[in-house]
Amino acid sequence: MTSTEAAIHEFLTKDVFYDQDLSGLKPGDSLLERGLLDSLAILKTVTFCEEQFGVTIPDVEVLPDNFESIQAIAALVEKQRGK
Amino acid sequence: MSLRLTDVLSESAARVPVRDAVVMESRRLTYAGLEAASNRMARSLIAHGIGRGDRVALWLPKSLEAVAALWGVMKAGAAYVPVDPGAPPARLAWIARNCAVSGLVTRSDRAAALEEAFAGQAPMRALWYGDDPAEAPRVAGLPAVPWRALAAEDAERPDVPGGEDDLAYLLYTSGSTGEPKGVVHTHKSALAFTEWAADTFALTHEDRLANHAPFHFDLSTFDLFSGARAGAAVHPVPPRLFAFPAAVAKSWCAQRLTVWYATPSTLTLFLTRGNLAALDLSAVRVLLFAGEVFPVKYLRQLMRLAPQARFANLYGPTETNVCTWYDVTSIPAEDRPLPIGVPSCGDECLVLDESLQPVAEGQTGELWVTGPTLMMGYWGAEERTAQVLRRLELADGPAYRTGDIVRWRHDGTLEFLGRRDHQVKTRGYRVELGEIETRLTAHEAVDEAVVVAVPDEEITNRLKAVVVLKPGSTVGEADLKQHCALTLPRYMVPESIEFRAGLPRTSSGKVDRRALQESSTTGA
Repeated sequence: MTSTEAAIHEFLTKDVFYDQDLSGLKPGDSLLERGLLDSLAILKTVTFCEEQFGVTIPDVEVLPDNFESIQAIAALVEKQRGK
Repeated sequence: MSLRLTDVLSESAARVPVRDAVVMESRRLTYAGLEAASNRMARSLIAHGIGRGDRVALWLPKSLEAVAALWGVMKAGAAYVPVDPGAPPARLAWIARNCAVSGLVTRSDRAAALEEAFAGQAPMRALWYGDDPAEAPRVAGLPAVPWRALAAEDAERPDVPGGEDDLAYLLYTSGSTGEPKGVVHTHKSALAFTEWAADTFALTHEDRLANHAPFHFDLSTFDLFSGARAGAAVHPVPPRLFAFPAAVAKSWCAQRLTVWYATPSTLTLFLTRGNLAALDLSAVRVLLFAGEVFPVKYLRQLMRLAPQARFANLYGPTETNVCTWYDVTSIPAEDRPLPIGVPSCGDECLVLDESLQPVAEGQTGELWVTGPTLMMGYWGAEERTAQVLRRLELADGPAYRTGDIVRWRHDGTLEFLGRRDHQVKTRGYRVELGEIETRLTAHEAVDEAVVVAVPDEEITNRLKAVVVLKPGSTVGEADLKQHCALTLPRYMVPESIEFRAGLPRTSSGKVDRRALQESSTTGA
C-alpha cells in the first residue's frame, strides 16, 4: 500500500465505514459494491483528500470510476497533484 | 378509474405492450415484460401461501427485479414493504417482525447478514432472490426461490380478489420514541395520488421519468405508479451512480429524461457539484420537487437552465402522500421560500389552533389534512395512530395532524413555517431527533444525548449529537457512531459528536435545545 492509499484507508475506516471491519480491505477492492458510499460520504472523502494532499478535485472528476476503490481514489489524487 | 393500483400496470401493458416500462443502463423491461414478470412473481408468492392482506418485505438494491417484485407482491394481493437497501440487518429484522412479513425479496449476497439478523426467528415463510445465485443460499431452513425459477410460472395475471381498501404498501419512517413507524397505504390512497399526478402533469407514454428516490421513500410512488399509469418509461438510478451527482445528472441528460422528480437537496447538489450548467437540459418537460424547502437561490438557477420546463413544489408527509402543490409559473423574485400551495388529489386542508378551531387568513396554525390520500394508520400501533388520525367536527372523514405549522396567504396558498416538534429533514429524509437520541442513550457509557440539526445550504440539515457520558465512562466518537449504525439507517447517524460535561438547562430544568442549536449553528 502506498502512503496515499494508507492515509485514505485510515480516513475511510474512521469516518466512513465505522460500522464495518475493514482490516481485510485491499486497495483494489470495490468500495461501491459495499453500497455505503452515499453522497455525504463522497463529499467528506473529497474534502479529506483536498485538505490532506493539497490537491483540488473538480466536481467533474467525482465519478464512480474514480471512487471505485482506495487505489482509484489514490490514483485520482496523484493525477490532480500534477495539475 | 381503476379499483386497484395494479390495474394501472395491466392497462398499460394492454395498451402499450412493446414500450419500455423500466430502463436501467443496458437492461430494460417492456410493459408486456414487466406485466409478465410481476405476474410470475405473484404466482410464486401465491404458491407459497402468500395472499390478500399479507406483507412482503423488499431488501435489495434497485434493479429491474426489484420493480417487478413490488408489482408482483401487490398482484398477489399483499402489500410490499420496501426497506432501505443500505439499512443495517437489525433494522430490517425489526421491521420484518413488526409487520410480520410472510416473505422477503432480497439478493443472495445478503444471506449471511439475514441469518445473523433473524437468528433462527424469521417471520417469513419463504425468500425470493432478485438474482440468480448458482446455488440458492438457505436462511434458517426457509425455502428460497431464485429469480430464474420464476420462469416456470404462468405469465397470466393471477385472479386474486381485492378491493380499494386493501393494503398496497407500508413505508417505515423515523419515530420519535425510538422505533420506526409503519405508514400503511391502501390501493385507494395510492391511486388518488397516482391519478392526480399523472393527469396534472399530463404524463404520456412518450415520457421518460427519472427515478431518484429510493423505493422506501414516498417520492418513488410518483415515478413507479404515475409512470405506469401513463405507460411511460421509468429510469431508476443505478445503485453505482447514486452517490455521484455529476454522474446522475449527466446520465439523465444523456437519456433525455423528460420528467424529473427529486428532493431539493438532490437538485441543489446537481447544481453545486454536478456541473449541471454544462449539460443539455432541453428534454426536461416537468421538474418536480418535494420533501423539504428548496432554497430559492438554487431554484432560480435551475429554472434558468431549463426555461421550457414546468416546475412544481409538491408537499405532503408520508402519511398523506402529496396533499398540496404549488405551480411555479415564473422565476421567484423574492428570496422567501415558495408556498406549499393549494390542496391536491381531492384532499382538503385545515389550519387549526390549539383548540382545533380554524384560524384566520395570515394567522399561524397547525395543518390538518383530510381526503382520499390519507394513510390507513400506523401498522400495529393503534394508540399512535389515534394521536394523529382524528375525527373532527369540521371534516367528514378522518383528518391527519401533520405537525407542520402553516398559514394561509392572501393569494389562497399555504405557506410552511416550521415544525411543532423535533422532526427535521436531512437530504430530503425525515428524521425524528428523538429516535437518534434514544439510540445514543441506549449505549452503556452515555448519560444524556441531544441531537441538533445544523442548517446546511446544500442538504438542508446536518445532524450533530451533543453527548454527556456517565461518570467514569469513556467511549470514542467512532464507537458511538458505530453503535448508531447498528440499528439506524446511514442518514440518521450523526455526522459529528461533541462530548460535554453537562447540557445547558432552561430555568425549568429542561435541556435548553435552543442554546445547543445556537452554539452548533454558529460553530461556537
